[in-house]
Amino acid sequence: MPTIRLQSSDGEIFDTDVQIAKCSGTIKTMLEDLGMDEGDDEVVPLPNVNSAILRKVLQWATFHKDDPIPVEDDDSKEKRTDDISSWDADFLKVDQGTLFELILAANYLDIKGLLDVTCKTVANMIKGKTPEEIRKTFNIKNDFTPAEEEQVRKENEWCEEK
Amino acid sequence: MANINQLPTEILEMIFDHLDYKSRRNATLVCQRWDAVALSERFTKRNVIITIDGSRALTLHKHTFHRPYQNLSLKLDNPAAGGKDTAKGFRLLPTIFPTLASVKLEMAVPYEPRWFGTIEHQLDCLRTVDAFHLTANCNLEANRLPVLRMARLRTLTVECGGVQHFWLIAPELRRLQLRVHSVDQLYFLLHVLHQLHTLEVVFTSKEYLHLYDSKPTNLHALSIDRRHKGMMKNERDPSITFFGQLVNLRRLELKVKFVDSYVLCKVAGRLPQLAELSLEACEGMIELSHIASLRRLERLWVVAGRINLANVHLPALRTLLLGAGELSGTTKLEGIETLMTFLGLQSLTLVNVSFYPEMHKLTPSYSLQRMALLHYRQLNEAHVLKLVKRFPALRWLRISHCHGIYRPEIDKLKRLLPKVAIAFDEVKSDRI
Repeated sequence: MPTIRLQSSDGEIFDTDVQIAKCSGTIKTMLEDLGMDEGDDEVVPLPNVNSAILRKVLQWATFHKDDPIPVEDDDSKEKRTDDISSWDADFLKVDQGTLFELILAANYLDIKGLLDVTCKTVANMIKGKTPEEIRKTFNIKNDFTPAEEEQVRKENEWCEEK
Repeated sequence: MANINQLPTEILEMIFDHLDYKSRRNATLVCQRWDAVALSERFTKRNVIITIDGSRALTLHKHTFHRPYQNLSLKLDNPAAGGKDTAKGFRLLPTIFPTLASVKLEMAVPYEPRWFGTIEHQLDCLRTVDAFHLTANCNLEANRLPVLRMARLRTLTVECGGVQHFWLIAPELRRLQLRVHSVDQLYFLLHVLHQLHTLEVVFTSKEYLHLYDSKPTNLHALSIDRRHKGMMKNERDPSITFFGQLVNLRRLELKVKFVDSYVLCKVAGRLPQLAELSLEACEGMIELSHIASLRRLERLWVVAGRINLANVHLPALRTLLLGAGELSGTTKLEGIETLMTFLGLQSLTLVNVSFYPEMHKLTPSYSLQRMALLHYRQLNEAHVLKLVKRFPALRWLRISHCHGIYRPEIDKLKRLLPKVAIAFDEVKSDRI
């Protein structure tokens, strides 16, 4: 099975099955457009992803390597976040810092499935909470003055979903 | 990365894109950055509408808005609360919302000249919008309705109960949704038809016969709802000629009392370019062999009590919905093995379609990724598992409003199918 060598920001080398690495649009483009041949001993540097996160990303990609390329249809535009597979839900039982790093890595590596499911997981941490509870969950400082907060609250009352 | 606010705005937007509107609005109160991102101009432009009813307009002048808004909904249903102050509130609209792009106007007021004067003045202010939605349920004197000139109007929706006359001059109009129940409304439709790209029309009387005299060759999308009355023999040929002229049509939606097989077959033969087709019949069977000539069809919705899939090969089909209409019984399928011959099918929705024991003998199909099972009167997880096993590439499953599948069943399915993302909506009531 052909492999390529991925290098994380902290210098660790990951010998990876090409098919799995190609879950990443970024790596796929690199291999195809830049003429990096399979079997080359060249190392692909990934300066934006550290080894702990890259290990997680490759674990996700390995499990999902047979997934079809996601289709866009009316259902996928629906705003729902309960549709997370049980494997992904277990995989994403991590601390907030790791979750945010995974989002950044999925975005940089262009892995749509992972980006979707990580963003949904964060959205689930926002849903159903009061603003104060959200601030507590994510350790966010309230930088509104009471008057500004009142203004936003009042203005929101006029806004409906189109 | 310790804090969510260290994520770039682009990512924060992606997260908020998964929120329902209520949660998103709530998120604006977390901090200034979230306020700017959650209801950004990009978002409000498409998804937010400012809602003002008659009495609320009274206080409009006391508010300042820090976000720009482009969509406005006006509800005029309470003339008693109106008077001078309301009129003043309305006059401020163009100042408060200088970039209005779409307006929804709901009129449910008995005719009252003084009040109508206010409305008339407002209509005058709204001439520059590009989308206008009028809902009226009142008896306006025909001769009092002004002729509107809306120079930039592209989209118009008219739902009128009492209003018989509605007239406007809109050279840029491209998209129209209309309910026709009088000759006047039909004349209006025929008057603008040549310039439209999209038409959605509901006929509640037999006026549709006049439609066949027109040549709307610019239409890209056409939706006709005429469920109240079946096709008569003498309209078969005119209707075939009419559809044959729609050379640019890509999307067709027909809701009819019953499908006339001869007409369907002929019409499909004249529309080989069609990419999307929706057929809904209140009575009888729909046989898909009649649309076998639609080689470029990508999306197909079929709603009927009986559907025969046999003898149809649709090589470009990607999305398919089969099923029952609201309030009707289970849909019976014939020729179910054809389902496995749509080699590019990616998304399948079944609405209360009966299950067949032979289902588990079908050859597996490896293209399907998404499946939705909706409004089943009776479903159990064994059914679902049997069906899912026929589609090994399935990664997304939605089960909504199905009797027999509840939270514990969903949890079990999730455990048994760890690769499948399962979306679930509980049935609203267990009473059938």
